[in-house]
This record gives sequence, structure tokens and C-alpha cells, in this order.
Amino acid sequence: MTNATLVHAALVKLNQHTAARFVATNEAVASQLLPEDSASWCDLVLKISQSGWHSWEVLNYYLEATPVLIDMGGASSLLQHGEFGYELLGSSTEPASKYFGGVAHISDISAFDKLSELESVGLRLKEKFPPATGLVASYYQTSFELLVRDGSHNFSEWLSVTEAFIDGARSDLARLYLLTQALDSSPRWDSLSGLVKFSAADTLTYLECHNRFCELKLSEQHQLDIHRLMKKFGKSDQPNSRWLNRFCDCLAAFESESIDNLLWMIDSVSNIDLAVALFDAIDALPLQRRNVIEPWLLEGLALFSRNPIAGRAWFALESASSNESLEKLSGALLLADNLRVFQLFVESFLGRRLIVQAQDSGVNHPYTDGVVLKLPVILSQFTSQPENFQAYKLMLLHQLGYFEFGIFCMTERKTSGAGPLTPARSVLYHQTRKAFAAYSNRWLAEHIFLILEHGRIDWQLTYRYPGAHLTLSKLKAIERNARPALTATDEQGLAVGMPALSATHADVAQLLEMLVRLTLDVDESSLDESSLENRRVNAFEYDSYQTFAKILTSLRAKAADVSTTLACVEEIYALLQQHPDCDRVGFRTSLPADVGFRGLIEPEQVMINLQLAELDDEDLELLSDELEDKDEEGLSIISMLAADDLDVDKLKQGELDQPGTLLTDLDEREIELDEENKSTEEKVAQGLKAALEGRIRPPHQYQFQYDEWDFVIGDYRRNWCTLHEYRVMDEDPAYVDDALSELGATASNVRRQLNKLRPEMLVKVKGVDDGEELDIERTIELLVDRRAGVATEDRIYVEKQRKQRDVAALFLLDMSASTDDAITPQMMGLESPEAPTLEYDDRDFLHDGYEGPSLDIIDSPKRKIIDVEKEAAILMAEALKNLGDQYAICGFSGYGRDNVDFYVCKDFDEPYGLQAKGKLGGIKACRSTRMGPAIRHATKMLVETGCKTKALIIISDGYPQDFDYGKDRSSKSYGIKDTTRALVEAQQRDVQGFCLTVDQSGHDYLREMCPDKQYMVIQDVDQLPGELSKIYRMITG
Amino acid sequence: MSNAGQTENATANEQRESQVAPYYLPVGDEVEIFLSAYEQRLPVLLKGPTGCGKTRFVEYMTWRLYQGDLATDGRQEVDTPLQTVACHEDLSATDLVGRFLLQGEETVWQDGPLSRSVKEGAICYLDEIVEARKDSTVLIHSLTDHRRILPVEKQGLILEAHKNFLLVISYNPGYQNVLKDLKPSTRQRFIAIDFDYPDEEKEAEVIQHESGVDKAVAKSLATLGAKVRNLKHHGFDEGVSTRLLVYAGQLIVSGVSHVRACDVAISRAVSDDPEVSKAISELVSTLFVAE
Repeated sequence: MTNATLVHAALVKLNQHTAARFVATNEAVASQLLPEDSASWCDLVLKISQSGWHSWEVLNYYLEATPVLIDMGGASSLLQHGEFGYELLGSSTEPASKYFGGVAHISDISAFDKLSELESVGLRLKEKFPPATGLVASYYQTSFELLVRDGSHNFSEWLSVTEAFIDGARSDLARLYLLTQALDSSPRWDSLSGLVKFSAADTLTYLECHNRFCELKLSEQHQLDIHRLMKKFGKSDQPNSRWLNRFCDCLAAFESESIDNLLWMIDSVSNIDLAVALFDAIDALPLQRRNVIEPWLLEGLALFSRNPIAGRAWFALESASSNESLEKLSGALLLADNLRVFQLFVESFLGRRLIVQAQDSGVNHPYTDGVVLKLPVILSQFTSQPENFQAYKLMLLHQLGYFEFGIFCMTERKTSGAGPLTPARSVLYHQTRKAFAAYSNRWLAEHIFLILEHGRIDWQLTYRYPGAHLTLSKLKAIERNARPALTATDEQGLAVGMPALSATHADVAQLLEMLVRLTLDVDESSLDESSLENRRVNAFEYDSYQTFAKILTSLRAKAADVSTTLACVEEIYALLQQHPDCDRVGFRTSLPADVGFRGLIEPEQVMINLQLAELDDEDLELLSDELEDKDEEGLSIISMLAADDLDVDKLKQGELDQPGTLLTDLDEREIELDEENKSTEEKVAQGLKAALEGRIRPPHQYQFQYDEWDFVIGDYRRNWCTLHEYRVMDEDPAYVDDALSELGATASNVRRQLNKLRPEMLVKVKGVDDGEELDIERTIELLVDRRAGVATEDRIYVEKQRKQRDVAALFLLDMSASTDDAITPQMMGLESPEAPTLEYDDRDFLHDGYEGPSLDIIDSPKRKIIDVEKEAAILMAEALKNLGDQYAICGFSGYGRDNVDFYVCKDFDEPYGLQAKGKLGGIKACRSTRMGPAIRHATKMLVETGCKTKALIIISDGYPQDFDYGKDRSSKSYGIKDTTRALVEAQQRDVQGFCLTVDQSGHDYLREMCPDKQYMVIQDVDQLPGELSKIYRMITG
Repeated sequence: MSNAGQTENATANEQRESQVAPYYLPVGDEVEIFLSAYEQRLPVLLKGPTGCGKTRFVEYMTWRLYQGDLATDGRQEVDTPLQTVACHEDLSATDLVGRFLLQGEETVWQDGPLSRSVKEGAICYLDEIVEARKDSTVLIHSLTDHRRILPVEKQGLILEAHKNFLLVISYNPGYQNVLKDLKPSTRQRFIAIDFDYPDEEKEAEVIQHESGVDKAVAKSLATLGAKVRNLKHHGFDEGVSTRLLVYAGQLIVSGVSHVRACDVAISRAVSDDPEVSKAISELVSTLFVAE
């Protein structure tokens, strides 16, 4: 038997601190232990201390655990668990340290009772993975953390989960402990233990999401539902993570009822793939309306049983029929279905193009930056489509109000001297900015202004547009009801529920909220004295509110303009100033929640964009370069934009190079150069850069959405493709003239062909009632007949009738990457590369004394397929000049369904001048060949001409293809079927399509694609121009 | 037989009989310019979109010069002081100058509106001149320079223009294509007065006067007009004419609801593109409360 003195002596040699700790522990527990127990304990201590490297560390933990073990289980427990811990000591001290360290923290007996269970699972783990000491240590660390934090409740279930994992992979176990340690609270382990049986990976996925669920306060029932669904799907070969992660990402946006319904839908579809599809459509689903989603879901399930792919498209809201069904059921309105109407509506107000676009997914308010106006993808605020349409319209009207009678409206101003009045957009805006500069707390003044201006614009709308009044009132009412309750105050006047804010901050935040309510026509008496008594507001707020209501009377008036708003800002700011902190630079408080239909406007960004809109492309590029290259000049531009409106002429003349501009501006604005305004300048600089990036391309780029036919689902995929129409592109002005001089002979041939189409402008029609000439023969006959007393035919006039062609033709060139390939001898109708001379047959210089062209001539430069396409278009354009037919030349390419590029080289009403020629010359091979949307767009352009004969002539080099043209990338069918459908649609709209291809295997698919054999495979590319003119005659003649 | 000019004259004649000046609201200095041109007998070209008031302007000027404040004894004698010819693609020189007609067993010469004006000293107004055939436009060349003569080929005559005669033509540059442009040799014989739709305020005044609607409705109609014109690049080059706005006003006065009146007179009238029509209908329903 070892006594304490001997142990101490041994320990002193090992670690002084441990020795001292042993003495202290011994003294503390001596009275609780019998001498033989004490001796056994000392033996154990000595054994542990001698067990190896750093054993004193383990001993420290055992000593720490000793009083706990004695308290909870007496001496036997001390020795028994001590021995257990000792057994854990092996090549590493870590498991034993974690074990004793964990035991030392147990504080209640029920938790202590779980120790044996914990040990037995630990033993199993150790047996299964003997060398994995780190893993065993993690097990003890995690288990004790749970036991200490959560107590014995739910602990055995945790042990079941971990036990189930023991049978699996070691890496899963390690991850289990890592994830569990990171949890803020435990999930229902009992429920999860059932899931582990199906899939350890799914359980881990759930644990990854669990913290987020707790953060978003997902109810326990919902969590259990998720477990149940995961178990249900656990049998499938797909991981639950596919839907669970999506669920986790979108959860924040939903109320409890919506989550109920969402989980119900996932349950009903009984398939992970379909569940994922539901998440693709999640933004458009009215989840809170079970009566809408239920019939839609059932219809989808019925479809799924017949055609699984169509069913998936249904649930992802990709098919037209699914969209239509949901819209019909919900009364929801898709922006895409009405985009052009809204675009026209906006243009009618502004007289210029402000591009209407879909808002980012999940964002439900409008936004404008002066170049684009974004609207929510779908509106289901009301239960019927007409009402939702009106809500969309009101969103537009509110944003347009800023341009029509807000700070961006056109005002007349005098140019320097006694010059004429010129409209200027920026005057009001800059007056407003200057007004803000007078406030110490500019931030506050600006935000009061924005709140009031939003209100004024709505009031003005009702005066100017009485038809909008009803919808506006409805929307205001919805917004009023959705506002959060006014925060109550406690005894000290501090806001309850705004713990992060001091009294002043909370007061001001509350006051701003009241302002918003007033602009929403809240009943002014709603804040009566009872509110004061109930401490919903304090005395200051109550007084302020009453005053606000009075101030806002002037803002509601019909004559109110921006200056009225500014005057109100001044009064309200003065009132808020009674809070001493308010008037301080840097004072910030939380802002009231946005009003949905009013959305967001960024005045600075709008102003920059409006000013840049006045510049042409060259100036923009110059500006962009200067901003990039030279800091000082860039800054001078920014100063101009920030301080005064951008003087376009100055920019054009390059006057910005003079540093004086900057100095003058800075002098004038000295007052503004505080911290606040520096950030404004930075903001302007950033905005300008962003605007320039966008401006140099997109204003010339319009977006169109087109459906696509999916033969697999037997339905259109709604708004599947986004086509970008470019009217500005790289130009090659010399190309057309060079090509023409080379193709002189062919050109005259084509012209001759087309001249045959030229109508005789006047045709004499004899024997009509009325005309400018008498038909002598008939007149004589008439006179003779009269003399003879016979009733006669008196149609004796000759009329000259004009015959005119009413034809529009669009030449659509395939610009896919493959058109960059050089012409092969086969394409020239030749058998082998050894006989290439025919290529140059009609070129004079080869006929004179040459046996044949040298290889140099043939190879350099190589003619490409795209060159032949361009040449054909050039020749047609030259020949059509004389004919008077309207024609357009376009090209298409792109990559993926969201990036179908459509280049307009020459539009129908555009002259075939230098610019059009330059654009045509600049056409080059790009990427894929998604023909469907290009044909649909070309059809639309042709229909808009209103001509009687409409011809669409497509020149390509292969079958339609794109990386996502159909789910099965190896199949050509999807693209071919969609193109076929697009051509049928064209025909239905009286557009005569014709496909020409240089692809020798073209017969295979063109036979299917083109109805009534409206296609031709060109055997010899040099024949293309000639064939084209014949085809043109055939279609339009 | 072409009866161009005859029906058109009816309105002018009625105005004359009623001795009331046709309503015309000057937009710029067009009245002064026209008077100066008339004084010098300089041919006048009126350029502007359809329904903006070109014809009404000529009627108004004719009334002032022939019946109103500026009438002289000689001019008051003229029976038909304004000969209006709505030109069309089949309008030939014969239609303007005159032709032989069979009357009983004889052929009788009948003057065309141009010869009549030349003889009587009236104002001849060729509306939408580019629509007429080239041969008929060349015919007016000799009338529009210092010679002021009109050769009547079929009669073998050369008519000298009466001292009060003035030729006025109009054309609409908006929807003409290259094939139908006015030749420089014709164009450069006229002084040109540009017309456009009046600004909102003036247009409201016109609508109010012409249709009889109240001021507020007239103003809303004028706003509607201005906004619809912003869409003119979408398949209807002309925008909406003041005339159509007046029609809408007249329908309103006769009891048709505001929205319906604008629908039939404007939304459906200006474009066949369903989306454009819908956008215009939405403008209407924004400006007027549905009844």
C-alpha cells in the first residue's frame, strides 16, 4: 500500500504543481475516504503518474475529478472510474485527459448516472478504432460537453447516434464530433438516430444545417418533419443534402405557415429530384396559399406519373403550362409576361429608354439607377392578375414620379449669359444636394428628405393620375398594416425592444417611423393620448408626431414640389435637433423598414447615369480611360459630378485635363470637405465606375425573353432563353468594299437576278370607269353605239396602276465558332485538295497565263465559312439597294440559354450606309448556334415591319447546338425540334423561312426542320451568293 | 372621274357661309410668315405630322385673307377661295388641270381644281403632295417660280395665274420612304413652315375648344397625347394626332366613358400591335378613373 507521503514524494520529482494539487485534494477528501480506499486511491494516482509522457497532465484532471466522483458515487466510483480512465491511457494521454476533464465538470447526479453508458460506447469505439486516440478523445470531449450542457435528457439518444456511426466510416465519426461540438443547442437525437440507419451522410448534412434552423427559430415540429422527410428519402439513391441545403438557404424568407406548406409539398412529391425542382421555383410559389399550391401540385404529380421529365419541368415552373396553371390559380402575374407593356409604359412617360428588368431573385421591391428599372419577378400581392398588374404599374409610376416631378425632372435653366433656356435635369438635384450641405448631420437630413419625397410623389400621383388612386390606396393600406408596432418605452423612457439603441437613437428611429406612417396616410388621430399613457410613445415623440402631421399638410398639397419637401425637411430637422445628439456629424440610427411598392432609389447613381446618358460612346470611353489611368483627372470628373452637373461640352473638349477644374470645385465646396462628404465622393467615384462599366455596352443592348420548345416534355419552357440584342459591335469598315471589289462579277450576276423582280412601276389597265386617259377605241365604239341608240358599256378610260413590292427580308447569319473554319475543298464541290484551282475560276488574274494558283494564293489568307456568309449578305444588300425591298442583316451566336447574342448589322429602316457596312464587315465567329430564339426574334422583327411578304433567310454551317440545348448534351434532337418549332411559329405569323447550309450532312436534319422543303444544302460555297439570289426571287417574287 | 377637292371644299364653304373664322390656335410665328409669303405670293410648303393642324391652318389663313380681317374687295369676290386637293397615288396631272368630259354627244372641258384656282385667284392646297404621281408634281413647277403660269396641254393653252393665286402644299416627312420623298427640284420652290403637335397646354386648349370637354379632361387628354407620342417609334411613326385627341373629347362629350372613349379613339386607333395598344390603354386607365 502506498501512502500519501510516498505519492507526494514521487510526484514532486515529476511536477511540483501536480504534487501540490495532490496534497490539496488529499486533504479535502481524506475525511470522506476509508483508509483502505485512500490507499487504493494513492496507488491509482501513482499508477497514473507513472503511466508515461505527460501523465501528470492526466493526473491533474483526475485530481480535479476526484471530489466530483466521491460526491456523486463515493469511493467505489472514484476508484472504478479512475481505473477506467487509467485504461484509456495508451500511446496518447488525450482520451484520458478528456475523460477525466469531462467527469470533473459533471454537476448533477442524473448526468453522473449516464457515465457508465458513456464509458461503454467509448469502449466500443476504442475497440473498433484502436489506434484512433484522437477520435476517442473527440468522443469524450463531445459527449461530456453535451452531458454538461444539456444534462441527461436526450443523452442516451446521442449515444445511440454515435453508436450507430461506429459501424460506419471513421471520417464520418470525426465529422460527427466536429459538427456536434459546433452546435449551439442539441437536435432531437432520438429522431436523428433513426435517420443514421439510412444514411450517416444525411445525418451530417442535417447537423450542418441545424444551427441555422435554430438561428431562424425553426420550430421543433418543423425540425422533426425534416427528420421524417429525410428518413423517407433516405431509401433513395440521392443524398438529402440536395434539397436540405436549398431549404436552409431560403428559409429566412418564410413565415411558419409557408414552411408548413413547403414541407407538405416536399412530402407530397416524395422525390428528391422534384423537391429540388420546387426550390428552383420557390420565389414564384405562393407558399402561404395552400388552396393555390395544392391543386397545382396535384396536377404536377399526375403529369409526373405520365412523363417524369415533364413533371420535373412542371415543379420547377419551367414549362409554359405549369406557369399558366399556377398563374391562373393564384392570380399571380409574371413580370416577363408583361415586360414589353411595362417597357412601353415607361417609355411613354420618359420619352427615352429606361430598361425594365427583373429584380434579383427574392427581392420584392422596385429599384432604379437611371439606366435600368427593376421590378419583382412575380407579384402575387393580390389574388387576381388585373390587380397585380395594377400593383406593378403603381411601382413603375412611383419610380417614374422621381423623373416626372421629383428631383430628376427636367427644369429649364439659363445657360451662361442671356442665352436661351435649356432643359437641365440636374438643377433640382444639385439644389437639393446643396441644401443638404447646410445640415451638420447630413445623413439625417437626406433620409428625412427621402421619406418625405416618397410620400410627396405618391400624393402627387393621385392628383396627376386619378386612375392610379384606387390601387395606391390599397397598396398604402397593405403597407400600413405591415408596419411593425411602435416600440413601447420603459420607466426610464428607454425603448423596449431596441436594446442596441440608446434613448436618443430609439427616439429618432421612432420618429422616422412615424414620418413613414404619415406618408402612408395613417390616420393622424391614431396616436392619441392613450398611446402616451400606454408608453407606446414618450412625451417628446407624441408632441413631435402632432407637429409632423401639421408640417406635412403643405406636402400633401397639389402644388407641392421638391422645394416644399426641402422646406418640410428643414422644419422636421429643427424639431429633431431638440435631441442634442441628432445634430452631430456621424449620428446614425436605425432606419424605418422600406415601403415595398416604393422600393429603392439611389439618387447619386441615377444622376450619374442620367448625365452619362448625354454622352456618346467615344466620350464615355475617354471618360472611362481617364478614370482608370490618371487619378487626378479622374478625381476632377468625380468632383464635377459630385459638385455640379457634368458639363458634357467640357468633357468633349478635354478641358478636364486642366487641374484648375479640380481646384475651383474644391474651393467652392470647401464647406463640404468633411468626413461625410469624402465618403460621398468615394461613393460617386464608385458609382461612376460602375455606371461606366455598364454604360459602355448595355444601353445598346436590349434583352428579350423567349420560350423554348422542349419535345421531351411536350411543352414550351417559359421564358427560357434570354436574347441580348446588340446594335453596337466591332466594325470593319473596309471589309465590305474589299469584298465587293473581289466579287465584282458575282455582284453583277446577283443584281441581274434580282432586277428581274423589279416591278413595272406603272401598269395600264384599260376599260375602267374612271381614269386619266380615254381609250380611243372604246370611246369611238361608245359614240357609235349611242348614235345607234343601243345601251352600251361606258367603261372607256385607261388607268395607270402602280404595282409595288411590299417585301421585308431578314438575312440571319450563323456566327457560331465553327464558321471560323477554313473552307475545305469538299465545300467547294471538289473531291480532293489536289485540285483547288476551280476556287478561283471566275477571277481574271488566274486565267491569264497561270497553270493554276500557287499554294500561297490558296492558303493565304484562308477563306472561312463566315466570310462566305458575309459575302453572300453583302452581295444581297448591294442588289437589294435598287429593288426597294426592306431588308435587315443580323447575326446570332451565344452561349447558354441566358446568353443568346443577336447582332443587328442593319435594321429594316436603317440605311445601308457606312455604319451598317462596318458592322456587317465586323461580323466574326463567336460561340454556339442556338437557333430557336434567334429565329423567334427575327420573326418578331419581320412581323413588326408590317410588310405583306416577310422572308427569313438563315445561312448556317451546321445543326443547331449549344451546351444546354436540351438536357442530353449528346443528343441533337432537342435543338432540331426547337428550331423546327420556331420555324413553324414563323410560318404561322406569315414569315417565310428558308435555311441555307454549307454543311454537307445538312439534308439529314434540314429535312425535318424546314417545312415544305424550304431549305438548300450548298454543295459549292462559291455558289452561295448566286443560289441566294435565286432563293430570294423564289420566296419574294 | 376623280372628285378630289370637291368634298374637301365643303368644310371651307360652310365656314365661309357662317362667316366665322375657323378655329386655329397659333403655336409659333406661322401666321406672320404665311401672311408675308402671301404678300409676296411665295409658294408655301407645310411640313408636319398627320392631324397636327396643317389643313386647319390653311383654312384659317384663307378665311382671314378672303373673308376676314385681311380680305380685299377682289378677294372677297372669289367663290371658292380654297381649293383643297387630297393627293393620292393615282392623282394625275389631268386630275389637277382638267379634262374633257362627254356631255350628250359632245366633249366638254372641265377645269381641275388647280386651273380653277389659277383662274379665279384662289389658294390651291395640295395636301400630302408626295402621294401624288411624279408627273403631277412636275406640273406645278411653272406655277411656283417667277413665271406663275400653268400650261393646259390638252387645250393647248397657257394660263397665267391670277394675282391672288397662291399654291400651298403639305407633306408629312414622318412616314415617307426614300421612294416617296419630295424631289429637290420641287421642294426648293417653296418656303417651308414646320408644324408639330402643340405643347400640352396649347393642345389642351385646342381639345377643349374643338370637342367641348371641360378643362381638366382636355388637359388629361393632352397629357395622354404627349405620352403616347413618346412611343411613336414602336410601329406608329406619327404618334397620336391632335385630331384623334379631339375625337376622344367629342366622344366623351357625347356621353361615352372617358376610358372607353380613349380606348376607341386612341388605343385601338394608333396601333395594331396588341402590346402597344395595351400600354396605351394602361396610360388611359392611369389618367382617367374607370367608371
